[in-house]
Amino acid sequence: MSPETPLATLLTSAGRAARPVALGPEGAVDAAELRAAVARASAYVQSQPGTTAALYHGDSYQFAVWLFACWHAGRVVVVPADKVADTRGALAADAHLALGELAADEPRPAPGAAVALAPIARDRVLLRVYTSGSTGRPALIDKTLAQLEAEIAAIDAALGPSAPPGAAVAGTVSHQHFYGLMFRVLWPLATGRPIVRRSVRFPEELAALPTMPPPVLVTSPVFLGVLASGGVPRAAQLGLVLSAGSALATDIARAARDAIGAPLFEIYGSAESGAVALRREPGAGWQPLPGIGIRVTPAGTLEIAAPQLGTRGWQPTADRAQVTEAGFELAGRADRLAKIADKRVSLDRLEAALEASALVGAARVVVLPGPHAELGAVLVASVAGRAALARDGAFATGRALRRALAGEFEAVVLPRRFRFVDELPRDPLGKTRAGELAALFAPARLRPIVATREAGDGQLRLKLEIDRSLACFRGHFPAQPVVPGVAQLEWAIGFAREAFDIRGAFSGVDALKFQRIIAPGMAVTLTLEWRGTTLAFRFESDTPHSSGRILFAGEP
Amino acid sequence: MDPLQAEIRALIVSCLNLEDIQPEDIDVEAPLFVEGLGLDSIDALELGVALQRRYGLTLAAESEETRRHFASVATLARFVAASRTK
Repeated sequence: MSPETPLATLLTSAGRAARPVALGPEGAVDAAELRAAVARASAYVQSQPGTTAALYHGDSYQFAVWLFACWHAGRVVVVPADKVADTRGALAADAHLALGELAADEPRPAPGAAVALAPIARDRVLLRVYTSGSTGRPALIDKTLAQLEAEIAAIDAALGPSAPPGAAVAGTVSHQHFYGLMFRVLWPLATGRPIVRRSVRFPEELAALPTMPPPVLVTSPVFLGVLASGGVPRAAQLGLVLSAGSALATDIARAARDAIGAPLFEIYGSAESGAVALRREPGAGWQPLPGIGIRVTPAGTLEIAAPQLGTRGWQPTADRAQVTEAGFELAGRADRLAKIADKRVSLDRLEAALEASALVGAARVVVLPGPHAELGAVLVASVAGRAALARDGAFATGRALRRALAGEFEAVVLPRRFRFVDELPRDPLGKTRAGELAALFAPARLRPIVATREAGDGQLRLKLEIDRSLACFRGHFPAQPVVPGVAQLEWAIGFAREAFDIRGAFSGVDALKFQRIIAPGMAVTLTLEWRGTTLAFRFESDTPHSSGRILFAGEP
Repeated sequence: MDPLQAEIRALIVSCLNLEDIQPEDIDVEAPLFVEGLGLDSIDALELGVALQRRYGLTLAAESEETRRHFASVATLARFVAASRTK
């Protein structure tokens, strides 16, 4: 099945003028209005010099207007992933014209001025998107109209039967990323599905989406994690949910799909390759989209061949894979890229940026294990860095380095923790191993932080912060950290021995009850009562977590 | 000391993983960002999420008002006391 209208003539054919193309709080925009807006914007673009335009806009409809305006004006559009200062600086070298929120003042084309829109040539380069290359800095890759149309055809062949014609397409992921651009803007526009202009940011907003027919939601594992833990509003009604961006854990996928009550498809691909494969069931095998060939090299990495690549023959990917009866399985990335909060970040590039600081001699960045992936930076200070450490301390020096990186990287991917060492740990071959570096961030705290303390006669009441770096969470359990029962007893005894005159040795526990787990991020109240030979303890928050009596021998 | 201020101090140390700093080291009237404690915008983001989760607050991202609430532990405690839903 091919798309109803190819992009080349989407705006030049006059058909179905009253069909809605975009939905927002300001009402629906129909195809005729889109066409008129593009014609006006295209006149503005044509009046500007240069061949390349950079485009950033928070509104998917406005983004589409400028995108098509540039294409019909014969321009190539560079789509940056963000609008931070360094991106703008880099764009100034790559593009002649800044549009949308990159423009100093958003250009408002005169209502009278408009140009006739001619079909776009299929072999023309239309888009230039950023990718995070394995060698360090993100590279720009070109997409021709033929590539974009081939990918739309592959996507529609796979998704069309599961997304009714006319279903609105909403998303939590930005169209400034290629995944969002294809699934939230180009595929819907090319196949007659209205786009929901503004990104969905909170689960509550799902209840406000149009429901006739039930809409498609283009999202990522981060948002699905929220939905899986009970975030779906009762009134929400979705027809199909798509996830891409990073690996989605099978149990979260199942929980999210059950909470949403609609099919959940995962998409595998990248900015370089476009959408490559689809997984229709959590944990099932990946199946290539129609028209896409896959194979695995003897070295174990995945290669693909597809019209949307714009090149003949097999193209390598950075992913390792195994072919199975059900399709294929992915087995991790082959280079040093990490996904932090769904953003791909090159660890090599972060290290290079840290080493560019006058305070740093050598830098290594590692992904720290824990409930959420976060980065730790291990640093060897330079002479200037040692002086800064002595003067300002490790905390302030780490923050100063992080501020220096903020112009070049998005905030969410920056290292959360810093360690200064005399030299980097190296193996016999001179390599630094990620595991040894991560071990430098071993949790320091054995007992939780005390927020408040109320002491009475033989009584102590402590409000405790259960932070995620407590030692007791290590390996207990990797997917679901909980405070072990023995740690709770240890804390009760430890705090009690500091507060009361307990001389005897621990001799046993009585009436022990564990009712609710204690997890990272909670605040719990520990109440201790010393009654001569026994110590009554109780952990509670809104509900009781645990309680019991600890016995001590050798007391009168 | 106000127990809410004490809770917020402990929350800051815990959610931002401030390993070298104890809650009682944080002066409740001192600025949290840049000068003073020296937190940055990423810390602000993380702290905002932790406060929303713990106290059921609604925060306007990047507004001047939010910035004022985040000035110090004391201003945060006043804001939490006035707008908490749990």
